[in-house]
Amino acid sequence: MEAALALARTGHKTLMMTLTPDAIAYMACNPAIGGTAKGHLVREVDALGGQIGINADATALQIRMLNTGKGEAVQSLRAQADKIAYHMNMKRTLETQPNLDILQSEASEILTEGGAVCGVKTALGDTYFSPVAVVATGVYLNANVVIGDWVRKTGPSGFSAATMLTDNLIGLGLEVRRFKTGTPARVDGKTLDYSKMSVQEGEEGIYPFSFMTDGYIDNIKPCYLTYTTAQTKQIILDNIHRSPLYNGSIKSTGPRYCPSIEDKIMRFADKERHQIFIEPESAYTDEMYVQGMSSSLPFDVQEAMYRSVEGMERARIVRYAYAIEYDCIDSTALTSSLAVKGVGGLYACGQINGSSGYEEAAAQGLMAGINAANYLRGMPALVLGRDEAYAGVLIDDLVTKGTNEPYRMMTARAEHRLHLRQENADMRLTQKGRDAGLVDDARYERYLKRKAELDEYRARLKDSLPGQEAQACCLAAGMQTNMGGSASAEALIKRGVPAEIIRQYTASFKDCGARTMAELATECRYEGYLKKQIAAIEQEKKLEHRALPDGIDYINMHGLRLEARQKLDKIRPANLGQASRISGVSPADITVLMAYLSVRSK
Amino acid sequence: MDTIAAISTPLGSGAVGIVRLSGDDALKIADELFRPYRAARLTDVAPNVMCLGQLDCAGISDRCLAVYFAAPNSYTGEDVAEFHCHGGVSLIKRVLGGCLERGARAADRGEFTRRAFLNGKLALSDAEGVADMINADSAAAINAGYRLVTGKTSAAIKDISDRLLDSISYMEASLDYPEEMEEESRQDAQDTLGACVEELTALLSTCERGRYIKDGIKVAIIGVTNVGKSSLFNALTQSDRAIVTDIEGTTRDSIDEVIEADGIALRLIDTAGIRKSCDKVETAGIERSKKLAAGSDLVLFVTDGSRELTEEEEALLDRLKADGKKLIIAVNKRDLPRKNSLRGIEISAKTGEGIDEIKSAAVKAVLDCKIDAGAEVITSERHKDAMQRALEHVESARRSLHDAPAECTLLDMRAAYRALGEITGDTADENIIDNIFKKFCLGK
Repeated sequence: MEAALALARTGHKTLMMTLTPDAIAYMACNPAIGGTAKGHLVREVDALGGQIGINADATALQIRMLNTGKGEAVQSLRAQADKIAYHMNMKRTLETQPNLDILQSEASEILTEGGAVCGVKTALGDTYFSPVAVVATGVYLNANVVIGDWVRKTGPSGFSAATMLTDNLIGLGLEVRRFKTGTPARVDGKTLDYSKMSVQEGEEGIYPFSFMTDGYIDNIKPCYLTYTTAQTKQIILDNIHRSPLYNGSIKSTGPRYCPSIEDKIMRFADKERHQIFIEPESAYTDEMYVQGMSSSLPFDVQEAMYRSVEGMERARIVRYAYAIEYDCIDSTALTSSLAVKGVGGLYACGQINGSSGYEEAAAQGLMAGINAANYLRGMPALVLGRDEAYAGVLIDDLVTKGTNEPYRMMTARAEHRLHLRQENADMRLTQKGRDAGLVDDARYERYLKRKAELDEYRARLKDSLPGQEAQACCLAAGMQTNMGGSASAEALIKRGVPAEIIRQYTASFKDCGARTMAELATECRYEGYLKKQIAAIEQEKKLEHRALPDGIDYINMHGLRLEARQKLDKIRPANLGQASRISGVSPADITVLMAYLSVRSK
Repeated sequence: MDTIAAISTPLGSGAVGIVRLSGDDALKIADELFRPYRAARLTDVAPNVMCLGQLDCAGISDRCLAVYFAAPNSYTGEDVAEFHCHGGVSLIKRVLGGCLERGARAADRGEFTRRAFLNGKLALSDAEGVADMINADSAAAINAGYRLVTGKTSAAIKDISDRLLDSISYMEASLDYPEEMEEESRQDAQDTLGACVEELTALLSTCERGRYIKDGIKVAIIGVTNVGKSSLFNALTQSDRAIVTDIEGTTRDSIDEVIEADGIALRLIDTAGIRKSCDKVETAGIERSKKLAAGSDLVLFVTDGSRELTEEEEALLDRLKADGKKLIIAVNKRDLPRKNSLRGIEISAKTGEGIDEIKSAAVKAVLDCKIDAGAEVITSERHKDAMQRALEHVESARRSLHDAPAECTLLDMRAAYRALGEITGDTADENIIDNIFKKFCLGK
């Protein structure tokens, strides 16, 4: 979706091929957008001119800010989205987008000529000519759904699978591998006893995902928290031999990030009980999503297992939980612009690159779309740095390190995380989106206005406030008022005075927007640590500037360890920094490369 | 890898001389040079088994032992062959020459160990341990080196680093899975950081000891002229290196010699005696001796017990004491009647009485206790530097734990982990993510 929209919005005639338009933006797993680090990705895609944030805001059933007990940098938005509305709203957006057509068809072959894309052939035998193709197969490629010993060649949620493209991808030189993920059962909400669960309400007064959404999100439906019981554990242990994961019939790689309930029980045997969240699927259905209980156990075990959860004693399953296996590519075959190396005009994004999650897919889709558009326009690729965006971290990790399991974004992966905050996503990225032609005037004006406000009040932070005002602020914050008369707003903030109080009690900030004031306070509070973070990263940055020329013969390079030779030869990093992040390349190998570069430059 | 060859024993006429080959052609070259008595070729014999045979090369032949190790089960991780020949410089050199003629290359200094490191057979700290062992002058230094090779020191550091990793993972998991992690990663961090500070400090405190163990103790032998410094030097070293005469000021330049005492190397420096060269009591000689004394770990002050303590000697002693130098006093010429009252170890350089006492006293004065062969001792400057940085970061993290958000404290914790990783070779980012999912049950 994001790729198609980015191409169409930059003025390119775009055809979106889908197995069925009914599956467009149909959230096959959790009916939720955002979460730690994922919320950051949504904000970033939005700041660049993408759609996911706007769509999530428009269809949210509930919104919350995670990690409010911690610093702003790791606070993430998470919204329950109405699965049906989300799909319909996004489909309508695509339909009304100029330059974009939707076609139900299965792509069977990417046609190439002289090492570049020239068109796409469909399963029906039709051919569409185009110099670029973006592949986003989701979890549909050669998908197998597994419930106990029942295995069917089908895609998620009963949609059909795509079966023809894999051979073509292999023919194009890509290494295809098999990943696994899973989803829990959907149960009839009318059969649940919510009185035995605790209610999880949304939060009021939270800024929405999109910088373009005005006001706040209404919280329409709550979630519920409950727990598995000793009985749940026993049922699983008694039936573990029937689990495809444990009897060997599923061999593909599943994510540690979304373990099935049988995985959790087996791997963490001493844990008494596991949290289960009951989430609404949609306002148009009674179906509820049972977060924390994905499984591929046989249906009869599932029935007993779900009914052993507190408050679910009489639960009726509407859709059974299943595991799904699918084809994806080794993402190290891609460049930092998500282009397939060696095939001009071919891009890949989303689960096919080994990632998991809607947000990870949206970020890649947008970047693949922008870069495909730039390729067509003869513009240089847009590559976001690891210090510029979570999207940059995500793509760099995928194309440099590769992944052996579905990749989930985490704040722990972003070494610049103090700087990469939800609230400054627009400041970091909207100008880049504008330069790429994706940011429309309305969004750009909003950005400029916000930037001007931030700049204006940032400049006042270090000015001394009148003694009386400083005292009033301290008093209001319940703090010692003896500040020596003339403290600056920055000093007050660093001593713990809330941003809102400064806005209320000082003349110079009374016209500052609350959101701007809060952001400035965040900057102040992180200032010292940001410096520390930058110092820690500076050394690596130096490596980033040392380019590794094309055509280095790593295989015969004296001094490199064997594993490093093979990895470097395969990934062919652009610079030393990227080389140092490849797993299997040790600091000693980097020293060898440095020596090589310095000898070469003589 | 190309094949390297080197003489692995010191050049000199010992009983045995070893020539070692490592690389792709090591076994081929060995087969060409050596014929076992009980098999057609060396490689027909099992690896890791020494066998007797005849070595022919460059016009000489020797009845000797040979052994080979097949990759990757060798020191370097490559095919390795060794000839254990009769000692003798010319024989050994010819054997090496024979290897080079058949395509091997003379190994660079430390190249066998470097290959072992590059092939993943040794961790960096292990490789450093090997270098320490090769260059060791004393039993304790070899022990310290051995402890590095067997990974004992890195194990102690790894222990700290693993604790830190667990705590980081706990905090990171709480950040990335706020809904699933039951809090109080902070208490865990507080305990861990406290323990890390303690253990790092303890290990770092061994650094000074480590330096003495690795590099030995520098002992400056100081005293006025003709008290028997050079005789003592000779008695200690059991040599005649220092020229001994009755003429004052025979020793003009300081000379060095290494001896071993209680497993520790003592680097003895015999200095020129101090005497009044001009009229002034404050002579330049005292200044010079002061300089030598300053550069040493220990001053061995020698006086002649058979005569009165001179004014000069008293001044010198005062200066040394004022400088806080570690000092032992040897009262020489115990065989003659005692005429001064200075307290010290009574010796006779002439008869050798009290010499062993001096040696033990020197070690004791600097290390204040006997070396425990089992205790962890940091001997590498690189380790010391990395640990010091780790300690600073850990302390800073501990300070910020209660008033900064977790993501800020983690900056320091991760920096500490990275610094320790320079020793353990662990790379931070991937280990942290792996550990999060190993330790905690997370994910929907």
